[in-house]
Amino acid sequence: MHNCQRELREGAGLSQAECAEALGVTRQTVISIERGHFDPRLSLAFRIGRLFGVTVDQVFTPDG
Amino acid sequence: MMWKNWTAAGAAGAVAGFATGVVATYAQHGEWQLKTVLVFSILTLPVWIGLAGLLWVPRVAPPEHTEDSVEVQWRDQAASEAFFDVMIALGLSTAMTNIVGIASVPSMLFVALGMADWFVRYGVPRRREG
Repeated sequence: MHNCQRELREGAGLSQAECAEALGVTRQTVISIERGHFDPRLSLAFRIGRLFGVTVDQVFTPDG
Repeated sequence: MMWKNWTAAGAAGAVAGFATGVVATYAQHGEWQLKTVLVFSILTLPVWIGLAGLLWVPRVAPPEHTEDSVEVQWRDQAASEAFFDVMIALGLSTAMTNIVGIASVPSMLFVALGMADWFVRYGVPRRREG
């Protein structure tokens, strides 16, 4: 699953730690999502969308 | 302030370790044996101090949605894979014991295998991602 969380986060002027705190997860979780090594659960995906004011499918796109 | 908490944890751990030693000596020998008390007290001391530390030493508050964190996925995956490894080891051990007729393997080895397996399987992604 590809995602554009890094671009959204940097566009919002948030550090990884600030983003993690806003999402209620660890900083490592934010790092792993941005590297594409961790597909978050739906609950977290929706919180990411809400945080940046976009829909889930604007953040995550399936491979292929 | 933190050292006071760790001191309390150390004292509680020492008491619990000693109690473990006393239980072990009476359970195994039915009488007081200093060597058994000392061995069990010393070997279980780190575990008891660690547990007491979890209770008394303040830590950084966990994130609000811990269950969504990647560490939970690593933990669950490591536990699942370690479980299957232990099941395979148990199966092979049982087969070898019955087919070849060798002495049965102590269950403590499988406990150690499961714990070490989990530790490595959790540690590898953590180290790779960290």
